Amino acid sequence: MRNPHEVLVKPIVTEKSSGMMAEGKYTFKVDKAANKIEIKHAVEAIFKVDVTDVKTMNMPGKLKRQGKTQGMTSEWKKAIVTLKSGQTLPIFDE
Amino acid sequence: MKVNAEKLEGNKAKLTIEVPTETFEKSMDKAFRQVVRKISIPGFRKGKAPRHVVERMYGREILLEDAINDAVPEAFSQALDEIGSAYECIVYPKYEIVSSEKGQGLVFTAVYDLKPEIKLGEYKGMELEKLSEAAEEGAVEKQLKAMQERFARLEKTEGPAVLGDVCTIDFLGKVDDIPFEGGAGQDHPLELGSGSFIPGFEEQLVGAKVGDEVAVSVTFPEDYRATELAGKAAVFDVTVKEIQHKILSEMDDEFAKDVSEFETLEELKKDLEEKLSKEAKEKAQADLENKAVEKAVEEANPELPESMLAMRQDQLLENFARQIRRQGIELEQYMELTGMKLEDIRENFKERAQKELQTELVLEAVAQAEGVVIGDEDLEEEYKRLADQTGRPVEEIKKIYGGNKTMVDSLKFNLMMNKAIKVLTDNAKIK
Repeated sequence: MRNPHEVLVKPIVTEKSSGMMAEGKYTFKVDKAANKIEIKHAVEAIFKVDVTDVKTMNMPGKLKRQGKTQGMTSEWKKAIVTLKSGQTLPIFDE
Repeated sequence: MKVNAEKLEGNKAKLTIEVPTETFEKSMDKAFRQVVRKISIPGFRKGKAPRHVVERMYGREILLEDAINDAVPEAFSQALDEIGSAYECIVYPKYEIVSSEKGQGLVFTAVYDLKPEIKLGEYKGMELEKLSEAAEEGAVEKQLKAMQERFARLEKTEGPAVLGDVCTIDFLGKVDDIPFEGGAGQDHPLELGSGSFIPGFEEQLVGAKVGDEVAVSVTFPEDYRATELAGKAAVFDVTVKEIQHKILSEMDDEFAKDVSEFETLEELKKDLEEKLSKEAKEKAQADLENKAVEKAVEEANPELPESMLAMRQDQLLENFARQIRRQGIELEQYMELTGMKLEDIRENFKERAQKELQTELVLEAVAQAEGVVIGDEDLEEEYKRLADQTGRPVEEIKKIYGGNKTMVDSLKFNLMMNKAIKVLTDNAKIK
């Protein structure tokens, strides 16, 4: 099994994601190569909670321009993890 | 809310106030709502970040100051209500935060000067001198004369001019045969004997006729405002162009009709007399009241805490600024014009502030000692008086005051002052 800290890159805190926290859904940026099962295990291992569902999506990179050169930012994978109802991840609030 | 009150040396009070966590959290929330508007955090639209995110990013401190400013004055006034009138606070207290730890509410102290204790002297039976209530002798005649002057007609004559005539003159002044600056004028109206020119000038025109050229030699007074001319002898070449003789009306019923609404001179005289004696009476009364208050203050000689004085000085300064602003001058401009610093102006108000405060304190103490209370009927009466004075219906006056507690309070305070003054004068030995 891969190191869970390599699977989860960082938490995502935005208006949309903070709204979903109320429903027990937490959002992470995860390794591009990670699959749902790995993500589930990683969250359970690090935060000692039970994960009931994982949704993932690939986020496209954005076109960035600097003067006449142009390039793309990296693509990345976003995962929305649903916890067993009643459980929370304290690192997100406080 | 827990309040612990103690008295300190130098007539000061110290309150230690604990604001419970829930109450303080409300203030924190209020502060947050203010602060969050100006904060943008990645991932959130401006003003939409939740409180814990803001606190995580900027720390709790950015809310604390605003929250404390919000919570402290309110808690303080509540605390004052709780502990009662012995700790009445009349100046701005000095706050100090003891603790504002998370989840523990807010603990702070407020230190302020208490109202000084007034030791009234002998405020009853003070010996006071009262000015004469009678009008000055000859005052009526003086007034009539002034009216006569005011309503005099001017009539052209050929001269010779006498004192009191208004001459139109051209003049050219020379010192040592050389004309000097400001020494020439054309078609200048000059009332002989009015003293508007250099002493000796006007008298020398007496007897002149229209068209006459008179050489007037005068010496400038030593204290003349143009220093290079002071004390020098000068000759003025004066051409008299016109002489108007002042004709005073006869003092008779006709005159009375012209200058007033009365039919006869007798009536006018009587009216003047009444007015003057009323004036004198009012003046005597006002003077008596002033003396009474002054003496009572002197007897008690209350010591004022610095903070009280400073606050009153600030108020006076504010009033002053408002007053000159109404005349179109900002305080900054005023400071520039007079070259005074803000501190200087403030210092100028010190004496007045002290006098006002002492007067108020002493009168209040007198009122208290005499058990003077201002009831509703006193207020009613005052409203009526104000209505008469301003010519508005009583209801309107009441409406203006009715909704405003501060205004009513200050009105009551004034009434109490007046009653206290009355106590002083009523009990005084008047000489």
